[in-house]
Amino acid sequence: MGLIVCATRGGQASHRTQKRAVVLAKERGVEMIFLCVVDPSFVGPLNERLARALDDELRRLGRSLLNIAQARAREEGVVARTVCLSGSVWENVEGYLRQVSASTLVIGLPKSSATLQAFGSGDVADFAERLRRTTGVEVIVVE
Amino acid sequence: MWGGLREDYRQDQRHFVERMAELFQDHAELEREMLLQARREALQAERSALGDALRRGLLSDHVYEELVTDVDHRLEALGLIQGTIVDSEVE
Repeated sequence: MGLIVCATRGGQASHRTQKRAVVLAKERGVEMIFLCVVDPSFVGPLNERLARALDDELRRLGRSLLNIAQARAREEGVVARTVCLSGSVWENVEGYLRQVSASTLVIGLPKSSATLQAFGSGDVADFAERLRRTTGVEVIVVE
Repeated sequence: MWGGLREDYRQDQRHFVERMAELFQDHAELEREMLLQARREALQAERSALGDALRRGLLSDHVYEELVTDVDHRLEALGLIQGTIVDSEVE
């Protein structure tokens, strides 16, 4: 078993998702990465300076959430790296899994009422199924 | 005496950390809200410090305008991010 990537964005499902990924990494004795993809396109067209500020602040928030997840993993004795990307969520997640040759993706299924658009919306279950088919990566969806 | 006080504070700290962890476990979205709030307060402090620097003649009007506009854009960006959280929670 190889690298575990945990896609996280700080919503309601995030703790359960991160916990599952940490337990898995511990059980398998493998490396893990917390990945956060932010997508500033949710607000539509903006002037250049505001768009840059939005992207920067989303990345900053994402990095902070990742740092918290990393610290929690450390408390469990798991060393995790963190990566924050900006752009289309699904495309970035898929591209990153290929880039690092991950074997497992752990992703949360947010309750619809709490989905944060800025961190990407969409149908997680459909994405997970497509990813299994196209990449062969094991995808664990945490509800 | 100090050793006794320190231990007391440490116990309080441990207790609060545990309680916060429980709270975030049940309401993970609070963590995100708190980060946004902390960032907003940091930017407001930065804006205030820029005003002080201008009044004390440490910054030219031009540089002040440039920097304060950047801070204002960032505050506006936080408003947009916060807005998506509020909107999605009332769906």
